[in-house]
Amino acid sequence: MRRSSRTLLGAAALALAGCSRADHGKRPVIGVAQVSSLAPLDEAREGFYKALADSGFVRDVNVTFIERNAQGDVPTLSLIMRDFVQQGVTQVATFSSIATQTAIKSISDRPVIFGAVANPYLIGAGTSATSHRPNVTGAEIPLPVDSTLAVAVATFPQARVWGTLFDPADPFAEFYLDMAKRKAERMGVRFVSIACTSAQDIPASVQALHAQGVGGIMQIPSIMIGGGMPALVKQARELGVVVVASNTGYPGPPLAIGASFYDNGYAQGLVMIRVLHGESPAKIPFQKSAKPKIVVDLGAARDFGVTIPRELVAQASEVISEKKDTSHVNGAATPAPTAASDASSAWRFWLSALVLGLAFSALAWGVYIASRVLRFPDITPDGSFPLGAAVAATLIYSGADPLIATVVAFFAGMGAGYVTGVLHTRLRVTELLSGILVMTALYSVNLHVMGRSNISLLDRATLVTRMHTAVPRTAAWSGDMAFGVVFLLLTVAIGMLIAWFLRTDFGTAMRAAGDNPAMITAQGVDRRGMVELALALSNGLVALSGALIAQYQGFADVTMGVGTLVAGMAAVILGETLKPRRARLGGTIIMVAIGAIVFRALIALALRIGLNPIDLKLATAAFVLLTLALPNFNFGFRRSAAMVGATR
Amino acid sequence: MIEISGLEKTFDQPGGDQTIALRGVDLSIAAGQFVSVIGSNGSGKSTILNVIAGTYRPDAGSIQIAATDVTRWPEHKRAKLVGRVFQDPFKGTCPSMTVAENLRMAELRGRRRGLRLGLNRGSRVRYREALASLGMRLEGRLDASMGTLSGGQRQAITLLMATLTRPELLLLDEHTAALDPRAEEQIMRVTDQVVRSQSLTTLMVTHSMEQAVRFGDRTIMMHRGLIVADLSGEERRGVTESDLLMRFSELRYTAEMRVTKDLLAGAAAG
Ligand SMILES: Nc1ncnc2c1ncn2[C@@H]1O[C@H](COP(=O)(O)OP(=O)(O)O)[C@@H](O)[C@H]1O
Ligand SMILES: [Mg+2]
Repeated sequence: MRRSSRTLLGAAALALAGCSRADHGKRPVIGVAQVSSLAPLDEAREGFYKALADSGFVRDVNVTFIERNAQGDVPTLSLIMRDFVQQGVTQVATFSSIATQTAIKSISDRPVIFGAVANPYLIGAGTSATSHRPNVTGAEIPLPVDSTLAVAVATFPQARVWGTLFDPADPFAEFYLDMAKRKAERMGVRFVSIACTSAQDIPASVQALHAQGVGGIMQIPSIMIGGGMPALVKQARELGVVVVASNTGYPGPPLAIGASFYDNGYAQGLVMIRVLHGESPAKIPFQKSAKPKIVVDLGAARDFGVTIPRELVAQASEVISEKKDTSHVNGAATPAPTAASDASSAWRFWLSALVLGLAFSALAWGVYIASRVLRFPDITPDGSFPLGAAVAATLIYSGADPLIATVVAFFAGMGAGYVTGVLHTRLRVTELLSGILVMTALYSVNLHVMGRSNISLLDRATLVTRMHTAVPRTAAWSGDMAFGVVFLLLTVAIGMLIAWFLRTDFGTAMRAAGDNPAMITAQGVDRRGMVELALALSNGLVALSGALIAQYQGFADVTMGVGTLVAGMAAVILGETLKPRRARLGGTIIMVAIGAIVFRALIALALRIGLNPIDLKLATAAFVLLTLALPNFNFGFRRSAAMVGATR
Repeated sequence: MIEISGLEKTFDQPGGDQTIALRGVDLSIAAGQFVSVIGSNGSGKSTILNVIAGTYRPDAGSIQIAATDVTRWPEHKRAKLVGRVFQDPFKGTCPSMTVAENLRMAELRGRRRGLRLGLNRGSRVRYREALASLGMRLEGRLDASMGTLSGGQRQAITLLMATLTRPELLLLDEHTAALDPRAEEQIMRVTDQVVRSQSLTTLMVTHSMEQAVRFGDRTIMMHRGLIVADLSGEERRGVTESDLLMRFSELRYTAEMRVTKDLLAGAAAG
């Protein structure tokens, strides 16, 4: 009796507290911060809103949400937090570890309620569920990587060796890797890992795993590799390596075992409601939403040529039986070969490097035209490459013909290059700054184009699809083979067009505009127009390359532009170093493409021989520096004519 | 026919100073006239050529070429009417391209450049003939890279490029100054021959009094942004280098007086 009246009193007090808030007209303003629009984070946010709605918190009626998304740009998170404080939010809800980490650093005077955080202790939110920062609490989502591995091994016994890619830059990589390795050891399963620092290296990394005998990939959670999941799935499917994700929400794997982010978001919402009702966050322990979620994709299983046991399907919280859009399906795969011989494995490995190199040839030519023909230090490619990928991916995703999508991507890149040119020629912004400005602006443009930070093209039509309907896929005629043939034909055609164009009267004037500005003006050519057009052409080619890469790797991501220019420069320099002394324009153009292929091959080699990928970027930079410096020291005579030109 | 009137040009120097390079220059050149220009360093010779060619916009004054007012035309548009050879042998040609490609570019001066492969058998025959006319045994070097030629050879080809399609006006700015005496002699011979054979209206700046009196049919002398002497016809006949030198030092004094008077007047007015 006493007890119940106390509870009633408490409830009344709570209700009163709620009322008095409402009476003051001070409706809570919640800052909602998300690091990027990856599917799991979106799911968690939906769960969060649902929890609040279920308790009668109606958006814009008795609660206000200020939603901010850093779209993958981590430094922006700090700005978002500052903005929240400025706007006077009463509570902050964060999704993902990095958003939470930033919030902890910049906000200490109001509640921060987190969700989609795998391990709050690693990011300094507290030392135990009950002893934590006074203003920080929420719902953690421990991803059961160990049990995922156990289920994976039991489900696909044909895979003897298991492995994963990991992104060394990911704060949780080590944590999960450790968890998986310890579990594997206990189960007596060999488990190997390969570090992968950029989405473009995913295919080569999968190849490297396969070369170590891996038959199954149990991918640990990672933002970067999660975004590149289509590339991982594509390459693994080709090699007959099965993929299990320890994180649901990504397209492609036949089996994903994780926790439900939606449920986690819901649990986070419940914590938020307690705080809204006046409870102190310091008194609320961290919640754990441990409900596992199993997602089975039967269509994907068929593509992988694997079967998923009936019992597991029965247990699954979600079963995807058919692909949503079968009209675009890439020529259906026959069951891929499970055991590949060493020779064919090596051949596949180098083939994928060759295909990438071919797709990067257009990039190398673009960089060649800007840096060598026009002699303009153009930084735009770091933005125009993902622009091409974004435009092509968005169009293909919405059902456009891949050829048209690729052509439109080329023109989009031309537009970007043209703007860089105009900034320099008409507004007199310096060359470097023009490129930096456009590159920076393109980050937003690319996000607008895609409407999110990542678009998956897995099993969508590509330039290669038509070819596949003509020639059915077999073990010898693999996806890479088809891409290789199409890219080779395309690259040869583009190379011939460039060589022809640069020799026409117009193209000759364009070359002269870079070689000798005073001369070309004296010959009656408006150099400004030439600069604009050359930059347009250059970035058009770069964007085209981005469009090809997006189709090959199966996704576009806003962050995929990082390092584009350096890769292009490296290809150009390699081509120039390898080219015979007497090579003329046509020869140089061929050698630049070969430079792109050799560059990809060198990166593949580095991965193959086990160079730590953490050092890959450093090795690239060192290599470019070396090829730049060597001619000046050793082969000075070789470049003497060019040097005279440069010092005039 | 070239009509220049009231040309003024002042340059801002880094550091805030100003240099008056042209102080109101009037000049009229009849069609086909070959004018040599001399004057001390910094007297504005290059500036007047640059203003005529459109490299710099004048602060005041107007320029007419072949009865067309080109004062507001951008440089590349004026190139249709004006051929140029610079002092620097590297400035007039593209070193990374072949002689033939350079000539093709020059042949299209002021014309539309389309998506055609302009170098064909016909054009190569034309260029070989044109090179042969220089008498410098360059006709065999059509496919040589421009960067492999000597300074004299480059200047000869630049001259050829400036005149391949007949310009209304040819501007030569100390185009032999960077050459050794033998090459200098050769280029002057070629210059005279090209100008005479096409009867080109020509303005040639030279650092050499000897060249100034030996070539052309009119000589003007500049000092501190003004034309201080203008010799032609009877007056010029029989003039020697030393005559010019003497004349020069006299006139220099008069010009200084005029500039000082302007300055004083300016100061009084201000
Ligand atoms: N681009 C420029 N910027 C600043 N000052 C200039 C520029 N061009 C010429 N001048 C100055 O104008 C004056 C005339 O120069 P110029 O016409 O080159 O003389 P010269 O008769 O020797 O050819 C000089 O004092 C020179 O320093
Ligand atoms: Mg001069």
